[in-house]
Amino acid sequence: MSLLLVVYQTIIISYPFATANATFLYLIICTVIDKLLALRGAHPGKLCDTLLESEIKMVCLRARDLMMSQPMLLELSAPLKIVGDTHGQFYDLLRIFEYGGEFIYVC
Amino acid sequence: MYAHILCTSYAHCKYHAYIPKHHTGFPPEENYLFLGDYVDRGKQSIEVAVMVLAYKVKYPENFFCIRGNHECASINRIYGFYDECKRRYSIKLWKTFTDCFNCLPCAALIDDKVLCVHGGLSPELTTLDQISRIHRPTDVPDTGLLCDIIWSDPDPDINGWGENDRGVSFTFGADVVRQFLRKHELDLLVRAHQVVEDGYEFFAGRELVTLFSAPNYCGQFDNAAAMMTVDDTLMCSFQILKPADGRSTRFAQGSRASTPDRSHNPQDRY
Repeated sequence: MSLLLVVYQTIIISYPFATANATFLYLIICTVIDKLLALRGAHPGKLCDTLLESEIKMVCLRARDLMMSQPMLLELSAPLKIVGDTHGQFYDLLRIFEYGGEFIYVC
Repeated sequence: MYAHILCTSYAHCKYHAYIPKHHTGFPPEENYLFLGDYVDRGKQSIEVAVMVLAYKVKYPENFFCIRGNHECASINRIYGFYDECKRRYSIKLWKTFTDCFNCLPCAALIDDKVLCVHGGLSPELTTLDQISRIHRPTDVPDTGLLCDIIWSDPDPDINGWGENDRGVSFTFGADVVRQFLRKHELDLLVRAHQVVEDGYEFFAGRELVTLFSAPNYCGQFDNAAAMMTVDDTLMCSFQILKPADGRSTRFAQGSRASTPDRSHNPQDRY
């Protein structure tokens, strides 16, 4: 397992973004999300210290390209959930996602 | 189709004891639209920003995020994100985030009936096409259409347009909202940008709603967080996360945590 991790980290640091193929990108995105979701149940305030700078950079670059390919005024269709300001409160964001699936009508 | 509004509420509870694991709202089980302000003030801006962007990349047609006033280099340089990037990674990473934030879309229209922006309306906004035509990548300017839709606030005490206490953009009255919605045949304007006690707050006779999803904002407020669900008949309802007990004792009366004028030295204000 740790050998795989070393291989992965070596690739991600040395692999030039421009030539990264879709499968490899998908692997990185999944890894990043898994690392963040691993904090579920952790004591609130614990930082995600496993994220690599190169991973974050790839997420940013890919997100940038993707958002540029979509319009400035997004045209969406229901159903969806709208979330307001989150301001760096990561554990509250996790709570929002956790609650997002359950829905109880009170009044 | 008309957008209807239904008020609901959540009982505060220990979520891990309450919600079965197979039924959570993590993407892609639900579609999401985030209204901006992912960074600054909280302690984990990097985690929040990366999570939002990573979900955007993984589920490009089910997860959307628009730009808030803190997704702007001159603001998040001051209010915490820059320091967090510098401390935990590097200044270069902050620049990478800035390049990405400069490409965020700034508004969303749901089924031609519900308009979602971070701040509010602009006196320059006459057709929705104007928003589509804004060129990216772009910084948030100090004036103009893009600045207003990201920075403006509603004000119940005025008609028309007024001066904004933030020193940036304007405030607008209920009549402006009503006229705008009639003109564009919209039912509802959804925005964020201001902390509200229950996580959501109506304005202009339920034609505008403010959503805020950071509970116990900055540890100084007792506000709840809210998320709005729009179902496929455009019925709108709210899910409330009650503030955690004991973290804060009272809601700061009558005040809001606004981001002050960019042209002033922030040290003077905070």
